[in-house]
Amino acid sequence: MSATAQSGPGGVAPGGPAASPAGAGRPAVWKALVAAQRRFPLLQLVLLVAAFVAGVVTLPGFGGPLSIVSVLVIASLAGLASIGQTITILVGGFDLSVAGFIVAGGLIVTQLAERLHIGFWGSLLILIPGSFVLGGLVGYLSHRFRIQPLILTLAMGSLALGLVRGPTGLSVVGSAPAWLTGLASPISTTFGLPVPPILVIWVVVIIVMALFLRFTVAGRRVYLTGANPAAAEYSLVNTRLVWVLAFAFSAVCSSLTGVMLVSFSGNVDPNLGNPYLFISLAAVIVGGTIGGGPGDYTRTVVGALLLTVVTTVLVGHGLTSADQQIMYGVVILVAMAIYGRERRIRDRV
Amino acid sequence: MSVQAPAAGPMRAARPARPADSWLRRALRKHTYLFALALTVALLAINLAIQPNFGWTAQLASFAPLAVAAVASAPSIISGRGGIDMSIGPVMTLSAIVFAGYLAPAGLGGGIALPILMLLGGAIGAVNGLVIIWLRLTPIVVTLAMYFIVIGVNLKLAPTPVRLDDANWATSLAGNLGPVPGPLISLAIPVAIWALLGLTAFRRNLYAVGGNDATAFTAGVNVSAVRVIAFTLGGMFAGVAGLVLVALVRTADSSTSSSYTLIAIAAVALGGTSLAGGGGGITGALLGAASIFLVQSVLADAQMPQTWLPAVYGGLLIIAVVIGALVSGDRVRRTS
Repeated sequence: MSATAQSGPGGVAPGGPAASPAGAGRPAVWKALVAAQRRFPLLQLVLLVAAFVAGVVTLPGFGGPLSIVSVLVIASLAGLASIGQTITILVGGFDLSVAGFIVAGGLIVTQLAERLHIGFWGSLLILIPGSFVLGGLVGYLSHRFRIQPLILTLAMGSLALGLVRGPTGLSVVGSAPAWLTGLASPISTTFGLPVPPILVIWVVVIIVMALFLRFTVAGRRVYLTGANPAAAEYSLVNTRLVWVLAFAFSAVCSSLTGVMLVSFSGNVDPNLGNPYLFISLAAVIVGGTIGGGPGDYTRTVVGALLLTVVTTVLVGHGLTSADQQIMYGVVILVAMAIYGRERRIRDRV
Repeated sequence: MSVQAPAAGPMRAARPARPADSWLRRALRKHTYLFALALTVALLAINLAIQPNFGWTAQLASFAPLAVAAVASAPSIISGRGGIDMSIGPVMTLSAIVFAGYLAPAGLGGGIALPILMLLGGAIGAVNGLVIIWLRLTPIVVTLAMYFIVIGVNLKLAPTPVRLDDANWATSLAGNLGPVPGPLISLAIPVAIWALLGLTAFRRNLYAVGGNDATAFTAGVNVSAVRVIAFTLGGMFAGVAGLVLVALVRTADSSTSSSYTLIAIAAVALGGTSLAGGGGGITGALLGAASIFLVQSVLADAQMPQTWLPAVYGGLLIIAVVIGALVSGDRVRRTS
């Protein structure tokens, strides 16, 4: 998508260069593949299978059931962290408050719940409305004053983190309730099924998100707003409301992901959220969702799975966290170079 | 993908014509840094009142890294199209690590080390710029990717913090160089370069491109070159900022890679530079940085606990950008 939203090609010519007449003179198979890729994350699925096979061949035990469940649990955390990111990117924004809200969410259900003696469910009553208001504020301010959401979300993440960390202090007290830690443990079961509850939650979320974006009026408004805000406004879509709700939704998702992460790791580290910021961005971008659409959450899921499998395989071969950071940076660039290119300036005159 | 400030839709067209602007608003729009100037003066007065022994050199030294970082963030933001350079913070840390870990132990003096650091930062900035124009990607995505990459490189180069020898010449940048306070000299480097560029067509072209790149292109400005130079300049200044930082804290710590990105951008925004580009300047960036620094100073004096700081930074940044947007008003939105 281009920053010149008024004339942005948005949802019309999504593939950018790939969709342009570049196909002329290429073999028909290639053209069919490009067309399929535009509708469906084909390349990502091929890479996912390739990465998985590479892992099974080179790493002993990688294909075992427990290992697969573990990878899926990690992927589900990445996927849950990217729900809000997907929506904010679809409406033409960006959410860098993921890390801040994740830690804030984690701290509220552990430390704040302990300090205020309100229990887990009581803390959710602070967490959900609180993050909804803060996220909605970002959406409102950035739409009203046309400020880049990137800056505002970055600031809001910091603000949310500070608002929770200020009262709770540096000391780490309190921990997740026992049943919560069972949620994401790879060896736990759901109603007798040998999968951890978090995977069931993720599957439900995937289905709900797919139905929401595809078949509800609200879902279509998300795409309209992202593809062409001016046209959406003329179609009587309240784009400001869409922005407010998108960012509020994103903040709530991020803080609930923080709760899930607590269940995964058992306690809260102030740096807990940082990796998930770039994982969420990378998952959305690698999945092939670009700003202002097209894209959907299913693509993000494929992106999250691909990144998790690739990372797990590479970590098995000695990849450090520093290498991971570099890899995510390069991956974002490569994926964007394939999907998210803008028009030439001489074409915009 | 890109980040867009939400477009002006028909709701703008529907708004009644604005009454004539007040003189204050006109003045603020012409000199975007006036708000930050007033804020700086007020905060300075508060600081001087509550801290009787306000050590100027020491305060300037703690101020310098943020100030240079803010100046480094300015050119890319002015160049428009959401050209926020997220990689400024990590590049600063990289520069600090390279200096403390490699150049200082090799005994290099300021005459050699500083150009090397500026070249290093400039090279990273140039890569940002070249990727942006060649791949035609949104600047923010490229600099965000670079942000991750440089943080990764920092972690590899310095898994543990690198100490700078106390006897190193660079520490005088945070003290006195002869009769002159060292921080003034480190601040003077980017300011001088920026002033010199004012003598060339580059700076005017930069504002033209930031205001409306399509128009600038039609007017014959080499938009791509201007953009690459803007990012290169930012990288060079970030190289200087890294040296200034390590001169002050005397350790280069890769875990602090991201600490300056947020507040440097906040400083630029608070200084009245519109994040949409095409306006503002480094005077505003310096004053914005001064305001933020002085707020920190007041908070530190009031014994504000560390854990509240993220809330303060976040809140400040939000207020800064909203005020910036209010001050610049409903600028006539460029349409292409």
